[in-house]
Amino acid sequence: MKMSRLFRKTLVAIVIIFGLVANATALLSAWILYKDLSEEYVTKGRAIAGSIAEASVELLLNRDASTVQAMIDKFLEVEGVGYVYVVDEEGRILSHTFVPGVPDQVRQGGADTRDVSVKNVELPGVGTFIQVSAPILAGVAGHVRVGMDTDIIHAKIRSAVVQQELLMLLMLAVSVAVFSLLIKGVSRPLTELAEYARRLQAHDFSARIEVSSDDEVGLLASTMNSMADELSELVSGLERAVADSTRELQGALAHMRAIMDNMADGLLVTDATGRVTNYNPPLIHMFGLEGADITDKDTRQLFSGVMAGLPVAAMAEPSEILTAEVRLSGGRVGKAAASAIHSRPDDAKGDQPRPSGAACLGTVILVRDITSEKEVDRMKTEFISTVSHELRTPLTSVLGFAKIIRKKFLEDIEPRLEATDKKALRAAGQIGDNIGIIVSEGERLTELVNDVLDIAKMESGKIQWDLAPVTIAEVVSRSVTTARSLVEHKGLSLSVDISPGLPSFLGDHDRLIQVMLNLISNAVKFTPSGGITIKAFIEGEMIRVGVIDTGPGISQKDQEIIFEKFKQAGDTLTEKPKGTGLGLPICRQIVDRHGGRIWVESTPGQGSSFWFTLPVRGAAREAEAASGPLPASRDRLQPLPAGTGQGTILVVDDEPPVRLYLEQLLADEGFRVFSAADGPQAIDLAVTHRPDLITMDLMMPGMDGATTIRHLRANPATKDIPVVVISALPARECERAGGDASMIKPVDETALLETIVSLLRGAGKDTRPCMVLKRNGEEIKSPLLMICPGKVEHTTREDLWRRLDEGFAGTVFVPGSISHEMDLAKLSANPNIHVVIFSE
Amino acid sequence: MKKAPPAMSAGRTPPCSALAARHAGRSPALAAALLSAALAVAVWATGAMASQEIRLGMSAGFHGPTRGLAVELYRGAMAYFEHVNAEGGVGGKKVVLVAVNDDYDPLPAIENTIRLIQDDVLCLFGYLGTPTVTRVLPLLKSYRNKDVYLFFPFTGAQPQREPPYDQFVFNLRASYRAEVKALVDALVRVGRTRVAVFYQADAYGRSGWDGARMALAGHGLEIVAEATYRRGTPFTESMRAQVDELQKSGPDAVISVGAYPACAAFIRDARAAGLDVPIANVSFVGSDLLLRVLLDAGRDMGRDLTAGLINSQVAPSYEDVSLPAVRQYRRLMESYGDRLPLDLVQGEYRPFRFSQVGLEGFLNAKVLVEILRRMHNPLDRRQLRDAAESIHDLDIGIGEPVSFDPKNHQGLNRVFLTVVKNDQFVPLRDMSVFAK
Repeated sequence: MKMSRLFRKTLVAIVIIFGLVANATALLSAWILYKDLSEEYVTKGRAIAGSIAEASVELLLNRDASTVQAMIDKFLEVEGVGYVYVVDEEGRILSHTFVPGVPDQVRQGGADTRDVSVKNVELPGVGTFIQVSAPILAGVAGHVRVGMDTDIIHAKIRSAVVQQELLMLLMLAVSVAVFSLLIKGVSRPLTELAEYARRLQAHDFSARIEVSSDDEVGLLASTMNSMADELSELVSGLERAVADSTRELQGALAHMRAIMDNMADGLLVTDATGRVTNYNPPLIHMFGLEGADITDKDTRQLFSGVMAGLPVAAMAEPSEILTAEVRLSGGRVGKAAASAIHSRPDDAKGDQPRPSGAACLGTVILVRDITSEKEVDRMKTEFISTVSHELRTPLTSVLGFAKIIRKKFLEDIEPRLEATDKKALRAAGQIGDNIGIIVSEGERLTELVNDVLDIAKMESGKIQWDLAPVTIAEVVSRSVTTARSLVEHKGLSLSVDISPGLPSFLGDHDRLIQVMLNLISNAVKFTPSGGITIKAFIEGEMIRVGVIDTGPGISQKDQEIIFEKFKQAGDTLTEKPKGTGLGLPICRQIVDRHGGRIWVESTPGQGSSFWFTLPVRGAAREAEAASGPLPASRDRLQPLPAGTGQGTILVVDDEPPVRLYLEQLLADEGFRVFSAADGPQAIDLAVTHRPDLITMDLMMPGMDGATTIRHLRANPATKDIPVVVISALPARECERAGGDASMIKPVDETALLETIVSLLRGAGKDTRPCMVLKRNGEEIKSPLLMICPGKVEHTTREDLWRRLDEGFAGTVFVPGSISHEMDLAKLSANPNIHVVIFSE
Repeated sequence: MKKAPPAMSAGRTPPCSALAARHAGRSPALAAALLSAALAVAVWATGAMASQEIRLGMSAGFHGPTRGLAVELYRGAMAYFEHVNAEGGVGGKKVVLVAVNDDYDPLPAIENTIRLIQDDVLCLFGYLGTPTVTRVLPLLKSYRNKDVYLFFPFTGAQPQREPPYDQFVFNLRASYRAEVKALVDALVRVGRTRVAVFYQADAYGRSGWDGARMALAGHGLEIVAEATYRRGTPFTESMRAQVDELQKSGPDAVISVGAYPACAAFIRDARAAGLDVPIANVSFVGSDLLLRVLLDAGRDMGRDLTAGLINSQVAPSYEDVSLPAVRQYRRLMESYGDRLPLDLVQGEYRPFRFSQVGLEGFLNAKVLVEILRRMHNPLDRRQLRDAAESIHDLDIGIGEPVSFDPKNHQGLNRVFLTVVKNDQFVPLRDMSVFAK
């Protein structure tokens, strides 16, 4: 019979309860019965003993055993009497009812008492008895002992207990039967309900259950019915909503997909492990992955170069957008912009929201084919360099010769004019003026060309910023030094107010000087009288620098336009423009690039204040490394000792005017000059004549300057000849050319001469050499090397220490990227050397 | 318990009706008249006869272990009464023995006695058994105003021989005490001093036990072991426990005071257990019945269970034809035949033509009739006592005189010892055969 679990449980309970009850009541009744029967037996025994005792006096006295026997036999019929025996006054048994014999215990007798006594007696082989002993005639006639058979009591108890237990068993059976029926009445509906619930769980809401009873089960059933209805409605509602949402989502997804597919740029989405999760057709075309299934593949497997590591790099910089140039298929170039995808902190991804920051879910990379852009760029660069070369080269000639002419005229011709030749004097004066104008105009033109090229380069991002730790104090002092003569010439005062202890920061030294000079020169230009004050102080995380003048001020209208290209304060129609109108835009470019801001504060009639801010950033990184002294400043501006212009110089330039200019310039200084028009000729002449120095132009047809230098370096005869690169190309190109120094056309003669002199001096042993630390065996080129007066050597770290131990004295250049690997403290402790840490 | 109907008394037809029958042949009318007259006379005669009957009341265990005893006792008595009645009865009155069954049980015995007394029996006669008689004695005392006497109960117990009941009872047979004493003396004489007692657990057995104790005490001895059995124990029951009980003490003789089924069982089990000492029974055992059982059992067992048996009797052997009473007994028994009190006997019973018990019954009847003859009015109870107590040295033909007097209601005192020879009880001539 399959019992319902409910019933099984209750069955166990019933059985246990009944068992307990049965046994308890049985035991209780047994106990009660025992007590009662025992009492009754004792009472009976007493009664019998008493009665026998009373009746047998005469008999005993008569020694009539037989009648005594008859009497006691009578009592044997009484229920519960086990034995009766009578003893005479001497304890000898007179009559007894024992069969088959008198037990030894009895035969041995017991103490006879005066009174009726009761005791429990156990006769082995016979049984247990409650023995009542009564004296006959106070013991004089004898005693009667009645043994009430307790075995009968036990038997009765046993029988009573058994009967009770049987009754209980019967009741149990009946109860079980009744209960099973009742339970069935409950369990069946419950099972049905469970079945119903299961169907509901399986979403079969059409199932119905009949409510057949009025009790709690029925209530449950009807409630479940209504629940099923509710659920059914809910579920269908939900299903509808889900369908709608899905449709919307699908539409949105399709839309997104369409957008993605139709983008012009390539899209790549990766997950947090760098595996591709999404992409679009342009990306495939860009990287030539047609036909490949790139989903779920690692970017490091699919791409090479920068692209491969871009996801990882992007995730490492969660708040930055990384850009990089990547190689595309078919020789194309692309620009990839990668940024990490974050989940917002409140979006609970998983069990608990991340308390700190957002989780990185992957990266999204946009790739743009910039091949044409690059081409354009390249063309632009080429154009700029070509233009700059084309513009500068004639300018060099024009300005150079103009200056030469002026000099010659002023020095050699004008003094030789007769003071009497008034006409000639007048004419000479005019000529002098004219030439002066030519020079100034030429200078202006040069300035303009420089500025235009500068701004063009800056705007196209072509400028290379040489960031190094700089202090504003140094920049200001350098600018002041340069501009002092200009200021004094106009009769203005110049004061400097710099807060002490301003931190160093990363900045392009030269460009910052350019800014300062620009502002100062503007101030000088636009301040007829009074003074110029330069201020610098720390303002939060910025260093604020200001150039304040006492000029006429700038109107509000003009303040809005002066930072624009080619715009100048004042009416340019009526007034002669001063400057190129590009100065402030250039300053803005430079300041912006540094992460700062430039503006003007001015009230017309009360002077103008030009302010710019520079963030104090990145200085820390370099600061801890740069425990050594600040980079050796260009203290090369030592006055040239006169007359030391001994030496032979080879001038190499394909342009005859330039050649001529340089020849003249150098010859004037006392150098013996000869020139070459191209590379091969230069090499020939160098080998033949072993000049002390060579100036090299870079842009030459056939063998260019760089190649020529390489040949020269390769030739043991010429490899030690210092080379000064003089070119219209940007500084970087000049550096890379391999010369010991580089200058940009149009040259600053003074600088050129100084460079030549120092180089020549350095050819000897008493100019301080420089050692440049190789980075991972790689020679680093830096424009800073230009300041090296002596020979530049590239050494390894081990060589460096060796040389230092040998007593090297000079400057040691340490590339910033490996500066942390050097024991800079030890280096700077060395008194014979300067330590310069430069960025590359 | 049945009450004997009056018709029990004989099986005789009244003489008047015989006369009527002779005359009836002459003429129908006359015949009818005579017949009816005869009938009337017969009825009257019967009634007259009825008041001319001397009715005696007998309550005995006609069922159970004492059946044989009861029946033979009855038969023996009835043989004599019939003889007497055949000779005109006592004072012209017939003696009628009203026998009822009490199952050898005290309570029925009491009830029977009350009923018999209410039925106005002259006296109680031939009661059987110690337990029954002992319990009836108080009734006699309570009916003392009615002069109810018990004559010659078949029991040797002491209660009816001693005050306060001895005045209501007349005993003929010697007491158990006398029997047991005779046995003990004989045993002790031959050196058997370790005497054990096997007895029925009731007044009967107790009295035997008591007698043994007293007898042994007279020799300075004690009962060395005793074992009891319940009254009514059949022969089929095992007496092994009792045998073991006795053997524990190593007796050299056993006195057995019990009924023949239990005693036979005891003898059987004793011999089987190797207890070969002499076993002595008292007369109440019913020697003939015992013998019959022992012979049958012995045949089945393949051994002689009658060896070593000494039975005491209180009457001479019914084989002793030298005695006139014995001769008369035998003659009367022959004419009485194998008649049984059919309404009392249940099941099969093979009567003994002659038996000790029957002889005793016969002798009881003989003495009673003598007493009746000495009464002026044999229907008057009040005259019983004096009549009985007037018997001195009455010779009833057994060589032993019977005497009663106001102080002595014990008629005979003689004990006879018997043994079994050739499957029969014979007088024990020489006790030395049982010497140790």
